[in-house]
Amino acid sequence: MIQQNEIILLLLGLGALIFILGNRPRLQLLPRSKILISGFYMLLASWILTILEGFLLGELLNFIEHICYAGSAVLMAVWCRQVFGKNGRQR
Amino acid sequence: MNPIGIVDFIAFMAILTALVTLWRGWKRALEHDVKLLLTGLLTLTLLHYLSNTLEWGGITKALDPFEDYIEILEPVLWVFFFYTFMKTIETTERKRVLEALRKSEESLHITLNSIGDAVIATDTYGNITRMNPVAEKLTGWTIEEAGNKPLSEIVHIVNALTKEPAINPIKHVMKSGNIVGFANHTALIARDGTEYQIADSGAPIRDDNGNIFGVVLIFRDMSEIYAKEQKLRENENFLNSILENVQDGISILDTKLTIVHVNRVMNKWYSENVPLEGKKCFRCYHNSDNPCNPCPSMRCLESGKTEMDVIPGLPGSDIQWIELYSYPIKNHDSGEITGIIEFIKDVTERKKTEQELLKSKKMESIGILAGGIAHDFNNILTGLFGNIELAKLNIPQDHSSYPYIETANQALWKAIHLTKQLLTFAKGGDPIFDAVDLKSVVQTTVMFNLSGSNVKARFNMPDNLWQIKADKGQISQVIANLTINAKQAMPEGGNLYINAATIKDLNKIPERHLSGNFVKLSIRDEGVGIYPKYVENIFDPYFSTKQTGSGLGLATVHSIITKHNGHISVDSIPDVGTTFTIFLPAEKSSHKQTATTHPDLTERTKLASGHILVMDDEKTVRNVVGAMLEFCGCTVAFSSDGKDTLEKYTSADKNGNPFDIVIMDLTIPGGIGGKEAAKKLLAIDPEAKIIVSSGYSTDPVMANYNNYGFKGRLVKPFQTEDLKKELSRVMEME
Repeated sequence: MIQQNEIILLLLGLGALIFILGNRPRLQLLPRSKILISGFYMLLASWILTILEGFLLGELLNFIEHICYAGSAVLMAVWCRQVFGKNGRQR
Repeated sequence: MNPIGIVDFIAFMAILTALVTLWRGWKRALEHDVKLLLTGLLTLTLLHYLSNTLEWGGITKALDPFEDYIEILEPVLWVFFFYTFMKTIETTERKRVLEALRKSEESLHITLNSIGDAVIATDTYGNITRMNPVAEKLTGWTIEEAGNKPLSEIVHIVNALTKEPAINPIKHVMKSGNIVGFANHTALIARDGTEYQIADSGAPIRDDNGNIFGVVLIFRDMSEIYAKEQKLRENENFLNSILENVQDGISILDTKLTIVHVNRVMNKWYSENVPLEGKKCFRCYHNSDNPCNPCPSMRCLESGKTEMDVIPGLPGSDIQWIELYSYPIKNHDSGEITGIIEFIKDVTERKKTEQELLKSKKMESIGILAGGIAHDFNNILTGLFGNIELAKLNIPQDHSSYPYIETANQALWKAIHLTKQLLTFAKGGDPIFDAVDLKSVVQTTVMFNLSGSNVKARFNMPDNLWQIKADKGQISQVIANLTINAKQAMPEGGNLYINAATIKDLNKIPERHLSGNFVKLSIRDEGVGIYPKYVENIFDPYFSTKQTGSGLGLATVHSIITKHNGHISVDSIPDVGTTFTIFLPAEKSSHKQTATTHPDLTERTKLASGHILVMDDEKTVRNVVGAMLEFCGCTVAFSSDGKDTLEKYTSADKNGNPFDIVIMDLTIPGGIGGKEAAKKLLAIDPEAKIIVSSGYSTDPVMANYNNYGFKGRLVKPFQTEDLKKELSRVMEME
């Protein structure tokens, strides 16, 4: 079953995607932007998978959804380490 | 645990790690707002993954109701985070760019102000956008005053020579699009009218795409430099002027004796070797492969001091001797010799003069010797001549001894002639003028000098040729010299034509403005002639075209003719012959006298009662003169010197038997001579009649005896007839 909040989440996620794609050149100025944006894309993928798991391959896609959450979390951790770590300032 | 729960737990731990990292490195990076948002985002995510972990781990679903709201907030927070992060970065970047721009502007400003040249920048329309202080100083405008004004209003550039406006540099650069250097003679007229000589250039200002968006004009005040250059040029011209106008040669050499520079005189002297620069001096100046010896320049290089020498000039050139001064050129700082200045003076003439002077001194010494010999010889001849003549008078002409005596007499004449030539050569003194029968002198002299040669003399002289006023001995020498020259010019023989004519009232002789009566004598030979280039030099002393010539013959001829107030000229055609033409003053109202071969010496005149005092240091002379006088009927007394003469003259006067005439020898060795004695005698008796006698026929006293108080003169050796005539002439004087 597709829940209402999942639809809203997907729409908000797509809105965020449009924002990112629209400001891509400017976002590239951010430090380690590729890691950060990749983290967002992983999160967005999980939001999409949440919808898809309601239609097919429920368990698998749910598992992948959580893998994406974890991937996004790891990328965020890596990004924070690179930016705020000991050598973050130099970078 | 459910595998999904494990994955969620990993996600939870990762976010937790991120949060811890953020907190620990809070101060290290990023703006405060970004970090707050990031903290919020991470916290929200942490809650989300905590809820998942608890749910899928099978622990509790208590947080599940909040999960939906948390998830919905996540994309919103991401967008906020991105937006804030992006804005913060952009703001930071803008600040950084602005700061960099400010620093760049400041750097540009400092740089511009530090440039020693004037810099003016304009936009594409030529309006001024920047000026540095040097530009402000030179133009007299500040940037505040000149900013945005057209360059042409502020910068007035004119041609320094014509004062015409120079081309607009902005237009020129805009048109060409290249860096443009402007003419050298440009001047900037400042706001206050001050004129600066400038060197300027213009360049386009381009952006990254190469588009011109302005022009920068750079110029500097060259007034001082131009003034120095002008001064240098003036100095250079001044030095060049000296170098080129000096009448002596100047040559600059390097230390290897290579010619670096020469002046005009050197180029003229050594014209066959020009250009001289770059060649070795010994090669150009001396046609030598090695340095000269001595070489003052080589010595100068070794000693570092000025050296000098007189050395031979270029072989075969007119410059036979040069005086060479070598001055070292030293480096001002190190003192090292870097070259040589050679100062070269042509001393050929001076050297010749020195040689001539040496010759002249030698000749003078020989002359003094010859004069002394001639004097003594004349005294001897006087004794011989007088005695022979007395012997001739005392024996009849048909006596068997008479021809021998006559021959001896003729030989004596030749001896007299030789003595006179010796005296003339020795002293060359003033001629003793007398009426001279030129025809007789010419014939005698020419025949004498041509005797034994294959040259035939052809005379064309009228019988009524006027006498000349001349020194017979000197004129004879002139004829002799010309005859000898003619004979030497015709080694294979030929004819020598001698013509003479009386020229009455000659108004003008070429080259000499003389008037009066002259006798013209021309002597023409058929010899080798004289080349035209030598003709003007043939009367110069020591000039000779003959290998064995002394160079004195024609010089003596010229000197004698000039002293006779005459004129001599020469015409010559090579291989045809040479003609010498002489004009000599004719004796006024003179008529040719018929030679008296046997004068009537027995004629008695006033001399018969004459009382004569003869002063001479030579006893032989005294005796023969005494005999001559006694032959003429005079009574004679003798004295040996001036002192003796004065005593005898005074004594005779006191005794009432004064002397009518005193004959004084001019030169008395070791005693008072005629000149001094006459002075003293005239002091005692101003009316005393004194005749001077000497073998020094060329002595000034003999030539101008009147000036010394003498009434007459007798040139030794003299004949009885000469003695009688002079005594009669003086005796008849009042």
